[in-house]
Amino acid sequence: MARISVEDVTLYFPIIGAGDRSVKNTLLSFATGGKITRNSGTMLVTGLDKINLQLKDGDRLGLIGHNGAGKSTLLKVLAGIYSPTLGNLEVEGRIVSTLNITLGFEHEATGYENIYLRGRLLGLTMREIEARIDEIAEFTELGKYLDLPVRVYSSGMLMRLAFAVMTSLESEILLMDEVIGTGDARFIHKAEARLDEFMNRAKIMVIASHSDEVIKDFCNQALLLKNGSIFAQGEVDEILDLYESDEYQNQSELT
Amino acid sequence: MRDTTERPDAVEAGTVKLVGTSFEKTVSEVSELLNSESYYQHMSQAHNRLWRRPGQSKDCGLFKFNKYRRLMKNRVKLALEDMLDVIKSSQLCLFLAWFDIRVRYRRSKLGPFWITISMAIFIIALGVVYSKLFKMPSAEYLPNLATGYLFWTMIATTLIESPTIFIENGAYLKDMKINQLVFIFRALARNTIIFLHNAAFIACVCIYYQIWPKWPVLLLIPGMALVILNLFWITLLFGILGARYRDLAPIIQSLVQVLFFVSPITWLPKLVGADSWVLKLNPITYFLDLTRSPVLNQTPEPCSWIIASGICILGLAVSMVLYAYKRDRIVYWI
Repeated sequence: MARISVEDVTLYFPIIGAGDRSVKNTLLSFATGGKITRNSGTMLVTGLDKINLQLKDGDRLGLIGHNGAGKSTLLKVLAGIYSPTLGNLEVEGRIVSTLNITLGFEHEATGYENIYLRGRLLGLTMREIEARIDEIAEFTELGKYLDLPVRVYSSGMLMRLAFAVMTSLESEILLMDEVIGTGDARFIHKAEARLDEFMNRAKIMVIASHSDEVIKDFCNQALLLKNGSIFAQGEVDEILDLYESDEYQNQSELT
Repeated sequence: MRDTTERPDAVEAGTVKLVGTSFEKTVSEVSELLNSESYYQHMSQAHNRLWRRPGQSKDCGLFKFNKYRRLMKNRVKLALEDMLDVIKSSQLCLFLAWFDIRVRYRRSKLGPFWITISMAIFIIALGVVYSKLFKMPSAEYLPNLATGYLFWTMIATTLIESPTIFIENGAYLKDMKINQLVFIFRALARNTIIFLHNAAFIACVCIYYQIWPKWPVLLLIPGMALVILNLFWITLLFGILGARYRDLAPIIQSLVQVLFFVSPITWLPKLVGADSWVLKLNPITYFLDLTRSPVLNQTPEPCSWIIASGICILGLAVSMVLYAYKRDRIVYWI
């Protein structure tokens, strides 16, 4: 039983001025009463504004919105990376988040070592990793490359590795930012099958995407965001239509 | 009462609300405002939809103190939970530390021993010259230098790494929910393993000068533990400050260089007189006494234990409070 409950969640980003990033400047401005340093002061930008959301088993939510609408921010809040400034957030269930899939590789380490590293960081035990390492290695089709440091890998190869580790996890809640689409055609086809299976195992899924096809294929409801707040929520087709409509597009300039 | 307003911008911003002329609506809105703290906070903070400068009446009087106390209590609880969690996941920290060491030494053929050898050459050369300069028998000077320098290397590496610790692990911190303290324990474990590995050279020096371990050696265990605990709070404190203030790293780096010269590493405490202020005011003196003396079969001074414990308790308190207060901010800074 997995559950996500978001009540009135508001998130402010602190944006620290360049002048405030320095001990010397801070001391100087302290000594001179703030007369000397410029570019200082912390701005707060509203990342999310009064978000309310309830998700339960079987929910497949697609997040839609213009750039900067708050899709990734909402995913990061759900993943527990950002904590809400105001409001309540309750998440029950094991979360797997893939927000930036190729981040967090150790470039000097081999492919195999990176599988272990990622696995451990994502919460697997050594034994669990050992149990699935052959399957992961086989899926990546990287063969002997897995014994080489990942700095020699191409971006497509890195993607295969990250993808294979990620999809071997057991997740109850799956959070994804822009479903992966790299590599050669044959691999994409193979990846899709595995991705389907992986997503089906998850009880709740939230994806952010700019692609209508992805949202239509994978989601059973959609959420349209605008400037950090919910513009509309409902059936996928309706929301996608609304996204294209003038009503949304005209008002969505960043103010 | 009316249904319109001359201040539509304030309605838009959320600081005022147009409730209209209905009696029930007015009563319900006002009573919610009075009864629900979060609703009140929301309304009072909403004055500007997108941009807000701090200091603009964040809290409005009445609830300030209670809200602050509750918030602090909750944050300290979360910070302590992180602490417990990192102890539980010590296996993960050790795994990461081993991983770092394996990767770091991969590219040099002689591997980790290369660093030990270069350090040994440095210590022997310095030891021979300085024991002549200070007119001391090398049998007294060299073991002191070797142990002192190796312990110092561990302390200095940890200090230099500390301001960038969260920045370097930013890729993980921004991509997954992970206990931030894990990365501090990872660095501490890594530097301890490197030290233990370099300690082979201390053993060689001791054998050469025929210093055989006697019972004070056992004091090394609590001594090391206390020093590592001190390094923990230092790393945490500098890590948080270093993520916020980017010029802390070069400042620490030059500070460490100065510390090397004012600490009794290349010289012995008795050369300046045991009660010199140079020694008394330098915490490194106490850390070195706790670790170096047991190796050389001397008992550390009681005041070293007391002062190092005092610094540790104070430092842990300060850094844990800072961590409690800023733990969810770190990710925005890196």
